[in-house]
Amino acid sequence: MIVTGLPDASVERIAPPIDLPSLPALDSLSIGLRVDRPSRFLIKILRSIFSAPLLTTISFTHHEWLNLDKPSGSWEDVDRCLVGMAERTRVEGGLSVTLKQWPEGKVVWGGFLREFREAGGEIKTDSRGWFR
Amino acid sequence: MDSLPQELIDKIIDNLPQPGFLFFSYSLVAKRWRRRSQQRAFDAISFSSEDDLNRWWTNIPQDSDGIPSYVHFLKTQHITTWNDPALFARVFKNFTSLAILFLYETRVYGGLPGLILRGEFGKRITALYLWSSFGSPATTMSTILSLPNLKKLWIKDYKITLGEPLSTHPVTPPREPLDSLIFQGGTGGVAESLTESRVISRYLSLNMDVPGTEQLIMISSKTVVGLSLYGV
Repeated sequence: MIVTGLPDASVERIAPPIDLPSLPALDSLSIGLRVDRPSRFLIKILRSIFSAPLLTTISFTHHEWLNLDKPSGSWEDVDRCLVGMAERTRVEGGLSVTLKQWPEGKVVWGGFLREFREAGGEIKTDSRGWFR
Repeated sequence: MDSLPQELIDKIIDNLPQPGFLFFSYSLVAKRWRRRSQQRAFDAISFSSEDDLNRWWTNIPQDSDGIPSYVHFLKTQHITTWNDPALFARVFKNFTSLAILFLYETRVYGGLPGLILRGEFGKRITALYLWSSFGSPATTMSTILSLPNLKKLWIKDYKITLGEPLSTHPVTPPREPLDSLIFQGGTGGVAESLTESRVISRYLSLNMDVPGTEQLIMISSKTVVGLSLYGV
């Protein structure tokens, strides 16, 4: 078990990554959150993805992602997970990342991450651990 | 009216106001309106009890190309026991065009896999919904695996009950992966049973709060194209 600090300074025990095999055909990853933080099982899976060479799209859906100037703690949580995943995930192209409103599915933010190319590559994040 | 080709009459019926109950009235307009109107009227039906099945068997002509063959969507709900298995088999065998089977708060009938494996039911079913329903491991998994053309499986709050273990009923895994597996939770080892039965899919939508769900990703790792994860 490892210990991961979450934004509200609480500490939660997250199970270590599982031995997930390569996902050679995976094209899109969608993550939905219903409350204010991702579950430990979801975090575990994100931490376990190590090879998805054809991955092109990651989308997030959450009720509260309406004001991106004041993102919720959940966005920080998942964003941090994604950065953690990126450190060891091999993706051959860049990644398109979108945030969607629930339940309409309207895209409220989208970006293309060129740096998400190779495991251990240049994942640029700001001081809070967010993608830049 | 007599000079109109049947295809045109069918088109007219298809463009009439849609509420299902109106098609019963349209079927009485003229003899040549009957078949198409009945096809639309009986396209989707539901049973809420064995009595409903019995009334269907008694009141609806069971011709091989008649009304039962018009049913594409069948929902059973609130049927927690099957007291007359013979009735179930008689009625279900005549749904020869069924594409979607939706079991809601229903016990999965123990004889269902046998009907499917003998080719007497389910040849055209492409989508199976198991919502708030329950069944033994063998019956549940054999049903899922034996439907020859199943593409979409949606499991929500399903309960595996005590009964024959899966290992007592050898089953043949589907030759092709499902197009879509949506797993929104269950108890009694549903995720484990799906894993043991190697139910794989190209698209997975999974509730990550259910322990064991990650195994479903592992067995579909080679085929999965879309992965949708959520959790509370």
